[in-house]
Amino acid sequence: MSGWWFIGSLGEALFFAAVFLIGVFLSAILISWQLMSQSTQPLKIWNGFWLFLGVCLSFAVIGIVGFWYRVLKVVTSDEHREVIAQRGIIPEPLSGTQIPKRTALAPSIPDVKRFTDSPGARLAYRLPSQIPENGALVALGIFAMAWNAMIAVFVVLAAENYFRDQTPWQLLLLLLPGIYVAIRSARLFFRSFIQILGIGSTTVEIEELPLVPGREYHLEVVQYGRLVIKKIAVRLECQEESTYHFGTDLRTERQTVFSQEIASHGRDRIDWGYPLRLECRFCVPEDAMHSFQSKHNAIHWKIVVDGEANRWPSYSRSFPVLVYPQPKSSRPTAAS
Amino acid sequence: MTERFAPVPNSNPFSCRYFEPGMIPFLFHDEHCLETLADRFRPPGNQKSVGRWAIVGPHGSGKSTLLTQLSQRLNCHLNVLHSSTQKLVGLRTILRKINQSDLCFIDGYEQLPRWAQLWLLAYTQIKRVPMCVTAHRLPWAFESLWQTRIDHQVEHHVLDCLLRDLDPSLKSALIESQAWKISREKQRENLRESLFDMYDWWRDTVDEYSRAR
Amino acid sequence: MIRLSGLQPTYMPGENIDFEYRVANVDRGSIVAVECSVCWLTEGKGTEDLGVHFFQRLAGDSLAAIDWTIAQRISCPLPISPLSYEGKLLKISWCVRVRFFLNDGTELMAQQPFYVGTLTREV
Repeated sequence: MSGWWFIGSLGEALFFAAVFLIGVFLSAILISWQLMSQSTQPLKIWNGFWLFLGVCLSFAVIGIVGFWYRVLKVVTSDEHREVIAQRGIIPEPLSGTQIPKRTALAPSIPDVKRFTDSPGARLAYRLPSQIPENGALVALGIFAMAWNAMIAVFVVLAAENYFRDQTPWQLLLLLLPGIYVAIRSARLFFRSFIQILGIGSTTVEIEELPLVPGREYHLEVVQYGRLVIKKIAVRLECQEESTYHFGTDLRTERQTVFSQEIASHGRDRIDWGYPLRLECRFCVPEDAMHSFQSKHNAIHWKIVVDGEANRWPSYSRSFPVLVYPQPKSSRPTAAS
Repeated sequence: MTERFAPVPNSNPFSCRYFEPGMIPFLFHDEHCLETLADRFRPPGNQKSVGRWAIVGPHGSGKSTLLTQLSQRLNCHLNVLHSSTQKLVGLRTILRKINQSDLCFIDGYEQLPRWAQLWLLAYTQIKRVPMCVTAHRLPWAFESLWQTRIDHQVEHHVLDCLLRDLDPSLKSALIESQAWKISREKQRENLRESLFDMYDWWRDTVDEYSRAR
Repeated sequence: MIRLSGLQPTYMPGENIDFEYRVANVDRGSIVAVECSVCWLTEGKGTEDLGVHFFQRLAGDSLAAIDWTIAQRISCPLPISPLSYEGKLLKISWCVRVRFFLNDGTELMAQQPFYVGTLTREV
């Protein structure tokens, strides 16, 4: 299952990418043939033409749907899709809390909805990932697909002219850098895809949100993929962020003011279907500052997963969490 | 100079609120003063000047400070353009203000796209409204009003202003510190960036010392 | 001269803040408007942000009805956030501000900081 899954996923993505390109090629050939043929009508416009065009476009559609189905299957886990399908709605937290959930009651703290809109498979919430790794892959894939399709159309036009003994030198000169970009973008996409296939996604689930200082929480980190990890560590981190903006001068500074390792795991092998599960309990420090967001300043809390793997580059993935102030604190004798 | 309030206990004098444009008076090196610069915008008699002046200098060298003070002296509206300002909204605001005022002051003229700059030049020419802007290089169709630069005198002046209510030995300790020397060497013309660097120095030395005591 | 009184150094989130202000050595007739606010603000390496939690402006008829021989009392519940904070890049502090606008264009201001919650330093 392991190796075949890797090769199968990559092979399927490549196959559907090829089907898409064939569809675009054939559609372009058909349209240019129809429009540019001056002497004869090779296909009847209302019958054969539309039939052939439909077949060619269906190739492109099957290619695009199959390709993205395969890619998205890799970047979102089966369990995640299953839980959303089963529950239909976003679940309530497992344990009740007196913490107000409306931002209006807790001004300057980000809205908790942004953090709780994804249900977890085992615990209440799946934390959103801060690094748009999958988003970048999808964006790159869309670009590569669109660019390759455009280049395919121009190649067909150039070939058409060439066979009519009108070598389109200008178009060919323009096509050369275009083909280079097409190859590079496709190559970059498949390299990133292979990396994601190998390292796999990381999911973090938490039993309750928002977090409150002094309380203990159950956390589960699942690392998918097919790799041998040397070390995986989970940290709770607090980061301050300040932005100075005047005129063209825009500077943002971030500083980590708290970092605590809450779980770690040594050398282990992860395979498709056998992800690494790390369960731990952690506590937000009693005297911790809550999350804060204003126009130019912020205090962010997050769970950071750092991984070192054999044959793959080290990675670090952040999952923001929300920390609220304690609902009722006892009055101190004096400010510190 | 704007009145300085310190609502935060143990306020760090290098917090950006204390050196934002307008908080520290601009230092003139020679016989020039704010009044002589302001006179350029007050032509003798009733004749209307359509001069276009630019305060030119690198980042963090005091362009905005000088323009803010000039606009305060001439009692005219100052249009401030940030890199996040929507260009069309910025231009519309400036054009509206030109109709209400006989001077047009723009901080961050380079934020406007070329077509908007040309539009503005034409509009102020028709309305016969003088302009004064800040820019990193002298813009087309403008004359240089002032070239801002940072030297030891300016550095001392800024530090004097920021630390004026504090123990004078702190200023000498700061100037002698390695952090200040390294920062000045690195930031060169950008004094503002050095002041940001000194925020950390103050927090890690002076604040820590106070806490420890 | 504006005098603020009755403020405690520390309040807990959600607690009621009560304070008084009075003005001395100012011609009552010269007061055009009075603004009183309870606000938080940030200070540090980022541009300053200000959040106004409570704001009251007295002008015109509402101002004329005020007897300035007695202290003006303000009371409002505090929110649960943001708490006072002293971090590495930013500080968050709370204060009460009273501004008097006089008819000659001058402005008098008094402010007093206070803490909300126990002062939190960077964790």
